[in-house]
Amino acid sequence: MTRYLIGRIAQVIPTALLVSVVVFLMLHMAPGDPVAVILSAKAVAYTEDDVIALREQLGLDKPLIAQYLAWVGNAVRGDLGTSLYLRRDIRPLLFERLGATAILAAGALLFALPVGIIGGVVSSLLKGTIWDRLINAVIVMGVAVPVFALGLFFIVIFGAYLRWLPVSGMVSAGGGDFVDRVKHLILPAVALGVGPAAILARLTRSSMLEVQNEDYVRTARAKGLKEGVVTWRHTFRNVLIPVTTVIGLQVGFLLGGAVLIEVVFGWPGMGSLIINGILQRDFPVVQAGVLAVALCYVFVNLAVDVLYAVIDPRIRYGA
Amino acid sequence: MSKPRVSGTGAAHSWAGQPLHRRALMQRGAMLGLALPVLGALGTQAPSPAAAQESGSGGVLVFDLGSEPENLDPHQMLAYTTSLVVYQMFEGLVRFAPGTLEVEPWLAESWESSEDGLDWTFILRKGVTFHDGTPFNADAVKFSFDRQMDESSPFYKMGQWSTATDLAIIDSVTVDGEDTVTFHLAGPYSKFLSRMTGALDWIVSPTAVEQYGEAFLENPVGTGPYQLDRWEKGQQVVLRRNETWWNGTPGLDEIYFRAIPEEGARLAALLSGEVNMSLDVGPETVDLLRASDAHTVATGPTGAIWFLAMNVESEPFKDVKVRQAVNYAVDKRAIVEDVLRNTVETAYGPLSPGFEEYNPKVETYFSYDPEKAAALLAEAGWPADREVVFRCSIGGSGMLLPEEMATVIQDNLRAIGMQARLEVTEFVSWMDAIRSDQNELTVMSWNVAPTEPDYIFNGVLTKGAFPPGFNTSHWTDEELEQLVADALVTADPAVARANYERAQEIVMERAPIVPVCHRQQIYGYTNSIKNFAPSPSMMLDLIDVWIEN
Amino acid sequence: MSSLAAPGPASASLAAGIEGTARRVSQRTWWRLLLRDWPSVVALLVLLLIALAAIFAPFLTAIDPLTTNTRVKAEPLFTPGYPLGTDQLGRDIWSRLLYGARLTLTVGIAGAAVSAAVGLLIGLIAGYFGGWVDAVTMRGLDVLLSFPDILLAVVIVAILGPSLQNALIAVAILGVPFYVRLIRADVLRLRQSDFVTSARTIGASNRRIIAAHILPNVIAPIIVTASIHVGYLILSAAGLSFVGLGAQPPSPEWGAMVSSGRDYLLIAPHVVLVPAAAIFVVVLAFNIVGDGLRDALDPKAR
Repeated sequence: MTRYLIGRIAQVIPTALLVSVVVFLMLHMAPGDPVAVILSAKAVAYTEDDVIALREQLGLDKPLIAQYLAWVGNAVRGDLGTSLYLRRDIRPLLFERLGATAILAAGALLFALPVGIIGGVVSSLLKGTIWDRLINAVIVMGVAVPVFALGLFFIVIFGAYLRWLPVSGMVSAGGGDFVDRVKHLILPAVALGVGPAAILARLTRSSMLEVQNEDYVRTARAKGLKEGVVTWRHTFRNVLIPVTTVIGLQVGFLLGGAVLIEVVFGWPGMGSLIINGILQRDFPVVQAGVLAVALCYVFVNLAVDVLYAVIDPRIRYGA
Repeated sequence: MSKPRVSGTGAAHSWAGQPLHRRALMQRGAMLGLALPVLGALGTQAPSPAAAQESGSGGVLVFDLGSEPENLDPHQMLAYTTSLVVYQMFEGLVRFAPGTLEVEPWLAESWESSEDGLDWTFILRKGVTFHDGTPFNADAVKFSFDRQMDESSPFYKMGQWSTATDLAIIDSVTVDGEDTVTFHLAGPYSKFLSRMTGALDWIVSPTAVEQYGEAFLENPVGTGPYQLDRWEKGQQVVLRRNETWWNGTPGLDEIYFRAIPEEGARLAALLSGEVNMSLDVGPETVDLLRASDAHTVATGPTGAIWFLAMNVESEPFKDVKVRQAVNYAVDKRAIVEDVLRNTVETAYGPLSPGFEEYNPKVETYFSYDPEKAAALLAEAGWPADREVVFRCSIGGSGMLLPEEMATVIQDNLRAIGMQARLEVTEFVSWMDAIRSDQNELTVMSWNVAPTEPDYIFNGVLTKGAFPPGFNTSHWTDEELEQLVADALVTADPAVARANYERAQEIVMERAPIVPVCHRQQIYGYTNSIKNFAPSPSMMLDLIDVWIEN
Repeated sequence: MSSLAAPGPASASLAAGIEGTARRVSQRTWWRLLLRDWPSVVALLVLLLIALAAIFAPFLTAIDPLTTNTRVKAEPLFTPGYPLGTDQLGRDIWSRLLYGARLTLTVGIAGAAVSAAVGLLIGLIAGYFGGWVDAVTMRGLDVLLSFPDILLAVVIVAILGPSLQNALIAVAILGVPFYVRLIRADVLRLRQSDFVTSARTIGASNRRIIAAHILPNVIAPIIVTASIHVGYLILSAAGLSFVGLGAQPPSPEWGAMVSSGRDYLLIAPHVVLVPAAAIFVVVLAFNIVGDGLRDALDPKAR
């Protein structure tokens, strides 16, 4: 297992490097002269001198390899450049936005985990009953809901008509205490968490059912252990595996999928940063943002794989 | 519901824009003050106290801009929405009196100009201090201009002065004493005084610039009625009352500038009281707010124009008959009444009726007449299989509802036998595409205050504005160029006016554009807000505004 | 080749519900099993109806989906002449829904087909040849999987330019790794199987082995994956259209309809609700059919 872990961790480095190459190349593959596009975005007339000056400023006059090495070198040292539009250092900007997205993702998980697990467990215990069918129907529907439309309807129902909860941003004017922040989090987090909750419930249910038929559970039952004890002690522990899997998957989904929800709820996270960066042709921000999200995801995957190895002794490691 | 309609000369901004999100529009551009044609005038009167209909003070204003400011430096900001925030913190030597486009003394008590109009000397107000305690004086004034104009200034390197080209009329600024400063112009310029109201001419604290360097972008220090309390990035900009303001006590305790991008959320926030004032809410939202007992919608004039630009150098639009056909084809009523719910004014020419120079004759050129349009198109020998590319952005400054409007127009054109392929792209791609020679037909929006016609003509209708400028019609006319150039330097207001009136006729005769509508400023707010009125200068005057509990 | 052989648990978001498809059911009986599952039958019928409606759209409405009439904008549901009302430009929502179904279904089905075809090819090559080919391919996929999906689609579209076609390409690329993993794993297993080994000993060519022995055995899992993938693709493409990076106006693609109508959410909710509900129903139907197919092909999972 140690060998597996070392191998798995070592694997991160080439992946991360490749990711950086892809991110770098992606924006160089965009059609058109980025410099002209950036100047266009400023909506003032520009001259050939401006083009040359900006090209130098961005280092775009150098060969591609040199540009890449300079970019990666700076990134490793923590210098991610400056936003062309906001004129701010990108690093603090990224931290602010990553923080906001992390809060949103955590909120979504906080909703999805209990709802999904309880739904799945209840449904598996009531297998075959009308309740099981009902829960299953909800699960199937939960996966099919377009998340952006759900967000919009939340705004209408809870914001405009019921006026229970705030509909945009992370804090109120003059607010910012814990309760205020939680209130702002509820709608976007629930909208975002519905899909993951459904997937989780479904996986929990199927692994509960699978495990219940395993020999050791049957043995436990035969030994006269009470049903509740059997469920909790034996089956539920095994359910942790799919749960871990789903959390890993959903962190990726939440990091990226939050884009739509961030747009709808004016949530100042990574998704809206990157979308705005694209729309404003703020290339350094887009590059840094995509790289940061991708690297986060690489490390989350690593963490999940490691966790997975720890939880599930049945997995064989090594060739 | 108040509907101030003030017309006259005055200040202008011209900006195009940058999108934050589909319809949350960042507006970019030159914040330019424009001028009354008063040469050698001497101003000595005290600043006009705003007539307070209901006296009171206090309260917290929560203002939804729709998009977050990019920075807070008056000399480096890009968006129109940003200027509304920055305007609260900074002041110029002169300003437009509230509710009018009359220039009045502000940080300067008086001024006079030389015989030839090249030297302007201002006597500054005494006892004014910046928010950081730095005294306001002639050095501060010179500093504010030098940081943008003087390449040898150490502070010049600390910024990007992308709109400072508009200061080119100023050759230099000299300090003639503690409270006296003189501007030396590069040439005669009839609109100098009202230009001095613009954001580039607002005065910044030299000490703060030295202290913060490039970070002045986030740490603005001026002399205005409100000062920066904090900027919670991505959330809100918080201003508080400047307790030591030189001209009394500003009405509001605090102002929160927030940015809600989603239209539905903007309305929900206004209805639920999360915010109490919103800028440029959508047409449908206006209807809803007007129906609400608890809310008010106030509109104010602009000099903005939303139009179709036809590239006269492209094959389809070479023939003036085709361009006239398009002018007859567009159903402006459908756009103004049905799509925009009368939140705009129908446009007949390049200038809005808010301009003093507006020439009513433009209304006689084209009416909605599809038959005539089809006939003209046939006369021009339009090939039935020709398809023109019709460009449109999904958002952008002052673009209103571009997709909806363009779709109606596309339909109008189809009705007269012109197939237009609508290419809707996001704002920056669109800006890039329309400035290419291959561009054929595009929607355009040009946003200025109704003060100086020059910003329309030299912005989108003269040779100087050919791409990469914004004359996307690629249209030029010798007579018009001459008229416009003369109007800018003449000492006689009547000549300037006559020139601009003729220029409007030329545009409609040659028809390089289809004027569609003039945008209005639209503010939706709760009835608890007192003493608010949109200003014809398009700035946000909040000095006397207060909020009832 | 240590860890790669173990299915990376964290990197198969789509595959979450569709692992472990077995092929114990004969090719002839699986559809009977499917037809015994009533939700699947209903879902199939719904999809069939929608497909027919899309194909015969011109016979079901006389109104052009693009014709605007601003005098009747945002009319409510059941307005005479406009069964589903009109949108913000007075276009008939029923007509737009029908014509939009063509786009939406095309995106879903073509996207899944492209993903599956490319994934199949790569998976076969990687699994069959193994060695460095496999290692390089899988490392490439790891990189692809390092980007949260919608985000990667957003970036791809930003590079290619916003259009429905480019959105389709973007979401199709995202799907490729799932098919590759699925197929590669199967091929690895099959490669060691008796019938492939014996085929090889009698001198069958690589092409022949793949075509005759391996392909038929991986088709079933591909169909199951694809049927669920379609719904996912439709949701992703609609999401891209929603942020302005997919179908462009005046296209009646359903995601674009939601997006362009969203300013009318509070005034005329049906302008948003109708296309959103349509997306929901189609995705739901594809998911139910996908589940049914999986159950039918793998009785153990029931």
